[in-house]
Amino acid sequence: MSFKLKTIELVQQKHIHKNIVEACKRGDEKAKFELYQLYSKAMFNVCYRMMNNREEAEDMLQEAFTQAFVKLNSYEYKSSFGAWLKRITINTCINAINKKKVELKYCEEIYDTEFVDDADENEVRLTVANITDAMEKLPKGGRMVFSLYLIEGYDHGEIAQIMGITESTSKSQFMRAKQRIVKILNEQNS
Amino acid sequence: MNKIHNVMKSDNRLEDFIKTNRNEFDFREPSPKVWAKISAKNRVPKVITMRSYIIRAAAVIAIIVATSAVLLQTNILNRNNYTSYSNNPEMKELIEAEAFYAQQVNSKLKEIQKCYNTYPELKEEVEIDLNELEAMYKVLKTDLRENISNKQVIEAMIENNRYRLKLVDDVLEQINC
Repeated sequence: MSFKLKTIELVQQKHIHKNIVEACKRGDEKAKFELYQLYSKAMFNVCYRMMNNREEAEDMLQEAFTQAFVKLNSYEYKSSFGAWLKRITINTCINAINKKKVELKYCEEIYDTEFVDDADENEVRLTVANITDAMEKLPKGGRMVFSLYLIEGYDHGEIAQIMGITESTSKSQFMRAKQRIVKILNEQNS
Repeated sequence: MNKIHNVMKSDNRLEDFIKTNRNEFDFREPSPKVWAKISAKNRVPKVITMRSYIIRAAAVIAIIVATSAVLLQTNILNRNNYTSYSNNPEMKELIEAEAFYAQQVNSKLKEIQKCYNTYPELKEEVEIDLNELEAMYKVLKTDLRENISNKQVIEAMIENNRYRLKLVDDVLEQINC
């Protein structure tokens, strides 16, 4: 009984903005703005981590919401609205990156592991700003895999599908990106 | 081994830190102009439908205009009337003169035809002359079509009409039947 109630609660929580989404489907402009206000900040940060550039991130945010409003009738509450929107946002970014036809640079393997000795790991100061700065210094492909896995919460299978790489590339890129970030943080500390 | 252990430890600390502070990573704010662009784009479909409606209406009008223009043109060629030129005052005068003289000549010709029985040779004489004038008139009409604003041509055409009327007048005077 309590399990059932919990499930219902969860489902209801999953679709907390159902009324707004339904109003948007009917073309209600006010509801569209409400939905934008609810999700734009999160989606903008997704875009920024993908594009690593404010101007491009804003273009992607605009494109993603425009597409989401067009595709809204196909959204059938199979996932949370946030997850649905995030997938559109990420695909928008990936398409824009692919259009540029610039080869994605990935992280190369770090053979030099000596850096760990330079600083005691407890001394490495972890802050959101530090980590964000370090992420921005990564090669594009590695940064995307890292943030898709650890921040956006996709698994390696999903990342492989999103980025058009193999699952093992996703895994190895994540490991390398993580090592790089630790190295950058250590260097900042020392 | 110790090195690897250290790396792993740092890695896990990093992962844990990011997981527990996940929401803090969404610290950036988009500029307000992004919404302005999105809401402007939302209205685009309406503009497109309006525009396409206007284009469709314009296309229909263009087809109607083109068709009527073609019909008018062929009418002019077939019937040799000047309706499309009637804006020109000289042409207006010619059309009026043509109608006037045609009516006069026809009514007088009917009177002459009544005398055909009395003067059988009359028919041939009158008709030869009239046909000659008519042939000349046709030449003038083609000239006029090629050079619409030619004053001399219009004058010649009116003159031709006058001759025809004079011819039938003269004949009527002579026959007295």
